[in-house]
Amino acid sequence: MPDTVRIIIVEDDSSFASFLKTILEEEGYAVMVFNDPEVALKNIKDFSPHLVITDLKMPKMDGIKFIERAREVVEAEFIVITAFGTIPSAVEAIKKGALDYITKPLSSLEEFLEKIKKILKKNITVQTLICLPMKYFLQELKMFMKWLKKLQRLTQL
Amino acid sequence: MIVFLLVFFSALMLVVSAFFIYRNAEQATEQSLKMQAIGITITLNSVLQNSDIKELKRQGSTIFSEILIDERWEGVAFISLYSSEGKVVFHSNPALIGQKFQEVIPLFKEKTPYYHYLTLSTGEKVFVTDTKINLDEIQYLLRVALHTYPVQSLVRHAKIHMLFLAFSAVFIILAGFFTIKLLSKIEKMQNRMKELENLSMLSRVLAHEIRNPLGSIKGFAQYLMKKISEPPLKEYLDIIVKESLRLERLTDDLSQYANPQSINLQRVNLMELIHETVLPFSIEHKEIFFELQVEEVSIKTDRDKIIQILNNILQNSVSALSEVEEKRISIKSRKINGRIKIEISDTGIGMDEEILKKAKEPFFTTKPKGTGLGLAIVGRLCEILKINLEIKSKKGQGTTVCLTLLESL
Ligand SMILES: Nc1ncnc2c1ncn2[C@@H]1O[C@H](COP(=O)(O)OP(=O)(O)OP(=O)(O)O)[C@@H](O)[C@H]1O
Ligand SMILES: [Mg+2]
Repeated sequence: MPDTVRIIIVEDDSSFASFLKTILEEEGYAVMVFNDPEVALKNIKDFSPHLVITDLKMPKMDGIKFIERAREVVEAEFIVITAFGTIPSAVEAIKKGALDYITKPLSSLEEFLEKIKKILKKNITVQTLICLPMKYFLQELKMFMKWLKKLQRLTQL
Repeated sequence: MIVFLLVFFSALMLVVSAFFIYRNAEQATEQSLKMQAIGITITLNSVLQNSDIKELKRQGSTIFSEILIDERWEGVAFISLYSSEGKVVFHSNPALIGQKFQEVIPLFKEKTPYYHYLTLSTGEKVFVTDTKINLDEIQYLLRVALHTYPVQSLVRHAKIHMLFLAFSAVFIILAGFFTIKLLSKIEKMQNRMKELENLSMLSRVLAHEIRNPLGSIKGFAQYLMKKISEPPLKEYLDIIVKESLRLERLTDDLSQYANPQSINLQRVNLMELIHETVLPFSIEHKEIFFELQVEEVSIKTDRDKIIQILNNILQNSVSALSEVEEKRISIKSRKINGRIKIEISDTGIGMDEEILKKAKEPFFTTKPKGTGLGLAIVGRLCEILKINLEIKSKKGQGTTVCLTLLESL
């Protein structure tokens, strides 16, 4: 599924996670929910999300640590969920590489969806403008090398 | 309390022991006077027994005065010998020999030695020991009178000692009393601080815990609002959303009250800030007349906290005006003696004394949907920003809130 935007939600509060999943799927995103950050870390690579929305306060691992470890595995944008918009941990999360934060409860649905859209657009444009051509270029390069090797073998014979 | 009782008890013990020391001293002095008197009496008696009394009488002897000088007895006032008719036979003061003392006669009936005190014509009180002796088969009364002042000074010492002890006991009781009062005050303050700490912890936890389920309740309700357009259902959803918002506001207030953020100092133009804060209120409540008299001053303080303080006060004023005819809120600010005074008054329903007393307490409210944290937060923030907060109010007339700020924190 190369064209659908993939989002992972890591949130131990399953009701809130299912709410986020509902409204995000309605917008056409592919959403996967993990209630356990450790399980999320194991599966994150297979899903290779564009965006990860993670709670800051979770029982097994806090959101900041989760972001640190997830960033080693995937290229994605991160958003943190905080209870209050002004708490210092959100600031710290942003320092650790989160792009933005959302509050729980959301102040408004529209605002939230708008925020997600903007973040993804940035991410996807980066991907489409730089990463994708690079990928193609690398693929071509590989093909070229293969072809070169073949040619070499042929000439050696 | 136990400490107090202990202190009181030990002080009491001091007083009791002081009393006994005094009593002992008194008894000891009398005892020593008696011993001395008996010693002198025995000596005199043996002298008299060994001499010829008739011969001595005839000579008009000054034997007693001689003895007195000879023996160097200390503390002897006088010594004398009386006949059974009360006549002075010998006396250390020879001028008195031959005189008659009626009052001596009944003493012959007493059991001797007979101890008593006598007051001399000089006013001095002396210790007297009368002893009956027989000289040539005739009964006489031998009297030894001792000065009491050498021993009296001992008693005086004991008295001073006792007074000193009593005073220190009183002092200890008083000091203990005040110390205990002070301690209980400190304890009260500590309890209050603990209470506040507990309250703030509870508030913080509650605020978080409420926000979690609220996230999905409010979220889904908002989501359904978009999906459902059936009139009664939409109305119900609207109520869910509104009530969720109320809970959300409660959690905001709670966390604000429990742990206000750290101070963020800034130069602030007070006039602009007040205008900005009032603007949304004046737009929302066209029916209220807002009157602003604000001097242009710049202060250094935490902008967001000042806005929060003004907002909460204005919110109260607005709701106090909802049921009165004359709807007016006036805001004045002035610089007085290097301090800035902001006065926010309304012509609302006002408060009676009871309500005014409790208004600043957290969770005190008279409003069906109030959290009662508005003024509590104001109080807390004022404490942090060293603002003096004063609320004056009269039921049926209105309320004035006075904030006195330092120019720079
Ligand atoms: N300007 C005022 N006029 C009359 N009564 C007032 C005024 N300000 C406060 N009070 C009284 O003091 C009480 C406590 O006020 P406070 O702002 O702390 O809580 P609240 O307004 O009841 O609730 P909240 O602010 O959370 O909505 C109010 O319920 C009201 O009875
Ligand atoms: Mg209020």
